Amino acid sequence: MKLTDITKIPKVLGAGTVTYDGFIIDSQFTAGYEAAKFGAMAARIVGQVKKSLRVEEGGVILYTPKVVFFARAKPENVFFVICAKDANLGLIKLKMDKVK
Amino acid sequence: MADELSIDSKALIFATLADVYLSSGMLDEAISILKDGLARNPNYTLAKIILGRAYYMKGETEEALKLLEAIYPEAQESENENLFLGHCYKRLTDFDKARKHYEAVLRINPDNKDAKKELTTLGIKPTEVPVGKIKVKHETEVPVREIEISARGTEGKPELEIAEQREPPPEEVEIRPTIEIKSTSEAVHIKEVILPEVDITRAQETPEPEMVIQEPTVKITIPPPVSETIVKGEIEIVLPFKEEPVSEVPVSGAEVIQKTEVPVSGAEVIQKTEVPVAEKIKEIEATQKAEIPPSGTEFPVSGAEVIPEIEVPISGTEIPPRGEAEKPPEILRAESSVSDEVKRRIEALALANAQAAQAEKEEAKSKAKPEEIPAAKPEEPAPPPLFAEEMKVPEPVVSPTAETGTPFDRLNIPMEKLLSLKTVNAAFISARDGLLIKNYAEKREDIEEISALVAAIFNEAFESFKYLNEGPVEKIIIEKSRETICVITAGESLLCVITQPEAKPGLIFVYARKIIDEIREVLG
Repeated sequence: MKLTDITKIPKVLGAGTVTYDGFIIDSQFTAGYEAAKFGAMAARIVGQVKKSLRVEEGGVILYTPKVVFFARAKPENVFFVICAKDANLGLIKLKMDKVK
Repeated sequence: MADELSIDSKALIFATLADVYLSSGMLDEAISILKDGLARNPNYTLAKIILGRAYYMKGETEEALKLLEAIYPEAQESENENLFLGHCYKRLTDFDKARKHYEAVLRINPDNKDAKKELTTLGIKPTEVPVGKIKVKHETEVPVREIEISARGTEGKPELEIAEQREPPPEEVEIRPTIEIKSTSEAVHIKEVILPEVDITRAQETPEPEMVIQEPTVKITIPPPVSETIVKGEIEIVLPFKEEPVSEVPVSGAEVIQKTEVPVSGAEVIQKTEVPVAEKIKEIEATQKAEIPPSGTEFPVSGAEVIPEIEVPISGTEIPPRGEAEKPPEILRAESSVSDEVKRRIEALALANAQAAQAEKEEAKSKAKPEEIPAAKPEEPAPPPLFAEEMKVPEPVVSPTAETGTPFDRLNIPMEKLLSLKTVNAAFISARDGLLIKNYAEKREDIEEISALVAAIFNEAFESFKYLNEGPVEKIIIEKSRETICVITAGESLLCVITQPEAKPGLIFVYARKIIDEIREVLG
């Protein structure tokens, strides 16, 4: 699974992989969106979820009036995607489920 | 399902999905799926045709043309291939090639309306296009004789006149406009006589007083009997017009096919008439729907009266005549329901209320002067509600706590609906600081803990997005291995729904919306 498989979905603004301490491993973002910021936020939120709910693998989907943010906890890193609110969220979610 | 299909682009069904996307106007999605699928199935011609169509619809005509031309050798018998090639060439103002492809479409499918329409716009009558060839097959080379058949109609039933001529027949078969004849030594079949379509829509706009029926004159060459015995034959004539005035044609655009079997030797004439439902019906129906006046309009229907909707009067009153029935319903209800007895009861109620108000004033005065307390009067029972059910007097606004325990009781019904979903395990309302407000899953003991943790996660996300200037967080879905937590903000509180992993979050949000509205009203 490549990042381009997700970023080519219409209205996906970017996707990336980040370590739990917030450093970007790989990312592909459209102009105007900073991968580092979203990556750091993904690491922070998913870290909180893992710590609070005591789960090894889980995911978070956050809805705001502008964008929807997906973050999926992996054993070593966090995979995250940001897309416009009217993107096909189901399709993105399915693609993310296939990420290993 | 669509998502699953789009993911699995190895399956050839991706083309079908793309076609659905195209029909929905989702061009980018269709192109994406088709490209993905064609990368795995590069020889899938149908997908390439659909991709060409998608490019054409998107306005990328040259890309579409390039793709469609590339596969033309292997798809030249495809109706859609030729149609969209025609469209592309037409858009690129290469009308000769466009015409060529539209004609090819009609050769493949003579009923293709798009091609006919495009040819018409190009200044070519579709009927001029060779839609079929006259085929005369003789199994034995024998002298032929000629009969003339003319269809003449009264009341939709054409009569056939057959005239046999013993003269040597002409070599050519004269049929107007198109006819296909197959004959054997024993029988003659006229398979189809296709006449130009009558444009019913235009005819309805400018109705003509009389319809001119084109009577096809068919000259058929049939083989004479080999021996002296009379040879019987069958003739099937398909007449695509109806011999009724156009304005009375019930199904516009429908073709009337009349099959007639005519024994050659003057035996009985059998007529079969079929009225197939043509595709134009949908178009005409759509036009008719668009012309339907707004509701409430009276239609002059011959032989029937349009009865307006009348509110059923309250018992005890007479049904008003039709003229009065058109009065506003409120007036009717007031006139019919307020009988004298009811009036008396209302007056009694008003009097009782006035007395109660007076008693309250006196009680207030007595409180102000405690040393002058008069002897306590026996409490009068409150006047019973008079005709509350019959009169349907609007109930006074009562605060939620007056009749029920807490304001949250009004959430019980929508919450029960939510909890009745099979995949929903629990639900609770929590404050943003993590304190539990209301728990709807009393069996679970960990709700308070989850409430606190969810609030912590929510606040974390809220602060992060605030920093990113992407707006406040409205909803969160937290996916765990065994369950999923859907968190929806409701003002300063959070509605949390704990579901099984296979729950449909979209459905949960739909159910939750009503509850959120209630929570906003209760908590602000």
